[in-house]
Amino acid sequence: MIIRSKCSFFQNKINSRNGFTLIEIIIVLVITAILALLAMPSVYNAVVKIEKESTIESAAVGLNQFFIDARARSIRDEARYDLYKTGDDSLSFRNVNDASLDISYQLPGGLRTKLEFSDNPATYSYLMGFFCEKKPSYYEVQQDFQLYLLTADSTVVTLSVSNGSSKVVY
Amino acid sequence: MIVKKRDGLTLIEMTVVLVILTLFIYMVGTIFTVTFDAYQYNRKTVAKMAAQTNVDSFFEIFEKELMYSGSMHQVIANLPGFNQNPLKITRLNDGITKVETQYALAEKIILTKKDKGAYTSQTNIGEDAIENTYFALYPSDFPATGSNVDIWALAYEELPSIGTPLPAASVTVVLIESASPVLVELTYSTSTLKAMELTLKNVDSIPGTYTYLSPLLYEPAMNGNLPIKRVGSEEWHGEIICKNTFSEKVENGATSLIVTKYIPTIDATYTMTLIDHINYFEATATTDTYIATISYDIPDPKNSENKKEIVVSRRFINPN
Repeated sequence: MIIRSKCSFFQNKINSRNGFTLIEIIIVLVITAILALLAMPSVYNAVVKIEKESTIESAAVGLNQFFIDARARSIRDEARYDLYKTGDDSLSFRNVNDASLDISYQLPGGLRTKLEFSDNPATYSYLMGFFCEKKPSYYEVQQDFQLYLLTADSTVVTLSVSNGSSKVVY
Repeated sequence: MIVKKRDGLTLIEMTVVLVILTLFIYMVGTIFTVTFDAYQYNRKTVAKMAAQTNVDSFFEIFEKELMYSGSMHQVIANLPGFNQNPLKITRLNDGITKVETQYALAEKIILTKKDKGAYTSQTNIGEDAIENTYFALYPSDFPATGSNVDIWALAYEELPSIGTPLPAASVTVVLIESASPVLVELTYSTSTLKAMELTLKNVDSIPGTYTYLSPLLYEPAMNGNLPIKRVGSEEWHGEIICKNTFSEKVENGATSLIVTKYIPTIDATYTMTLIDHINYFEATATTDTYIATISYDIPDPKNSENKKEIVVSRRFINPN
């Protein structure tokens, strides 16, 4: 009699134990996985977009400094610096008197973002701090010009380089 | 005893799982935060370095301006557009500081026809060259001739006395159209003297008779190269004669430091921005020094409203 009452106590204790079943956990996980799968493209696109914008912004900041550097050097070194496209993703300002003073710039790239220059801005120079376009018989002072960047998804990004302030906006 | 088969996780087990999950999420969040902070710090550092580079470049340019200011002052002081003060700092009513420098750099040679009458036995000088032949006051080669570079010169009647600028009417800038060397033999010596037969461009429009010519130096970046032309202006070959004005320029709510370069040979003004987005530019003069100060902001990538102001001052020895 005593033994039976003790067993009955244990049985009640065990039967009253609450918890999630394996099936319930699996269902929750499956639903979570489906939601994650549904959200994945949006998240991926958002990440790619952020990375792309961040890369373009870095390029804008880098190009800004690149042009400011060339402007200052053209005054300090008393030399003409010609702008050349040296690769798909790189530009160079070449000191016409001393090649060791050339400066170069390479576009940044992310894991999924690759930028390229889509045009060849070879006719521009910094002369005495003035940003000039080379004409047949003279250099014409320019207020601004555009650089075109090509992204991996073939989007063309226009960077406006203003001579007056040497800033790059897009 | 009938024991029902265990069919769920206990609260303790779930709590442990949740704690581990929370720790994992915290760890991922921390990694993201650290990475993001590093990125922001990197941007801030780049912005700071860029601003500092710009300021350093400006001070280099400004130092050169102070060094040049006053060169050939007594000759150019009365040219149109120039004044009696080769280096002037003014503070306008709106608080904007203007620094004006003016100078001309000439070859280490002054050509004169003043003393040619003293040489009684000159040869190789034709009659028509009397008014066009200049002797070198200092032995030197004349700058590049026969090239496509226009040679500008300061032309004046008398050599100025120290501290006394030439009268306005007795100085002008002229363009030399052609130059050819002439060897002159002197009667009292077997040595030869170099002379130049120069033809001045538009000589009929140049008022007065000018005895001395000082050929102007050219900016090395442009010497022998193509000239610079601004839309609607004449071509500037880089002859170094100018009046420069450093000041702030406020446009669209942003303040920049600019230099305005007036070039009398082509009567044109060129403007160049030296630094973008500054707070203010100041310059003061003491007896011995000039002090230039620039204030600019370093933006905080995390909060665009939170900017850190950087003030940089440099002290320059008064060159005059």
